Amino acid sequence: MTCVRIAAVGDVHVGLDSEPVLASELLAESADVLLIAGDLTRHGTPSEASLLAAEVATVPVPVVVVLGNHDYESDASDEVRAVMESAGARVLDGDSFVMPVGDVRVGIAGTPGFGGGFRGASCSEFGEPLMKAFVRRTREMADALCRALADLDTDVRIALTHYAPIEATLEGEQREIYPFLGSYLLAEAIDTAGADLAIHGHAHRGARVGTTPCGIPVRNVARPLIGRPFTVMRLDTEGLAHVPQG
Amino acid sequence: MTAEGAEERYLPEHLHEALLADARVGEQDLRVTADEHCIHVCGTVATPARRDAIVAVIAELAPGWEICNEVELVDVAAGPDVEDVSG
Repeated sequence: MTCVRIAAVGDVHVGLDSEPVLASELLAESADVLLIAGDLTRHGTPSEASLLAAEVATVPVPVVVVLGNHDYESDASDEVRAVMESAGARVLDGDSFVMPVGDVRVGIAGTPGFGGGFRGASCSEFGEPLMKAFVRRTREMADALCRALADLDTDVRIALTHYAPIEATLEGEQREIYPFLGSYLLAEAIDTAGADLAIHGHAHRGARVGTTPCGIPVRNVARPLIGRPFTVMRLDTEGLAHVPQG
Repeated sequence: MTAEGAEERYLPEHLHEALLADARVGEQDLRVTADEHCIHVCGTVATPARRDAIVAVIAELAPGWEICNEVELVDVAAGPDVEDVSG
C-alpha cells in the first residue's frame, strides 16, 4: 500500500536577513510533496519572496503554497505569487493541484482563508460595510475551497489554508483574537466537501492537533509551533491520516 | 474521507445568521444550539412579535425540527438602576 508523505510548514516569514528555511536536503528523503501554509514573507515584498523562491527552486519535490496575511502587507501579493510560481511553486487561491505518488493520486485544494471566529462567537455579515466585507471575504474563500475540494477526483484530498478552520488548534493563543485567526466557515467547507487532512498555519502559539466537527484531522504547522523546518504527515490509500499527535 | 452530516452540524450557525438577517426578527442577542431532535434558541429580543417570528423563521429553514424557544423579552417597564459614583 502506497503511503503518501506530506511535508508541511507555515509561517516561515522570510526576510532579507533570513537564513535558509526549507532544509531541502532533508525533503528529498522524507517527503513526496512540501506544503507551505502561508506567511512566506515578513512584509510581503517581491524581494523577500525571491529569497524563498531561490530555496524552492532547489527542493526536489513539488511545492504547493498558499499566501498568508504577511504576504499581503506590501500590496504586492500578485508579484509575490509570480515570484513563487517562477521558481516552480504552485500557489493555490481557491483552486487545486493534483500529483501522483506511486499509484496514488493526491489532490490539494487551497486558499489563504480569512477570519471571523467560531461557533457561538462568530462575526456576521451585518452592520457597517467594512464588517460585511470582512465576513464576505471569508465566505467567498470558504466557498471556493469547498468547490475546489469537491471537484477533486483523487485518492487523497488535502485542504491547505493559512487561517485556521477550527478552534482546537488555536488553544494557547489569546481567545480575544480568535476571530482574527480563523473561521468556522473554513471547517464547514472542508466538512461539506470532505477531505483526508486539513493543514493550516497562522497560530504561532496554538496547538498542533485537532479535528473538524465531522472528524477530519486538522494540523497546525506554523513553524514557531512545530519548532523545526517542517513536519511530515503520512497518509495511506484508505485516506486515514497517520499524523503526529503532538 | 467524505464527511457526513455536515449540513446538520453547521445548522445552528446558519440559523443564527438567518435570524439576524430576517426583517421579522433582526436580533443579534440570540444563541442557537441543536441536539438530536430539537433546536434551542435563547437570548433576549425587544418585542413579542419578534420572539414569535423566531419560530416561523426556523420552521421555514429547518422543517421537521422541534423548536424550543426560550427567548425572553427585554424588560422595558423596569425602572432605571441608580449608581452613586461620587468619590
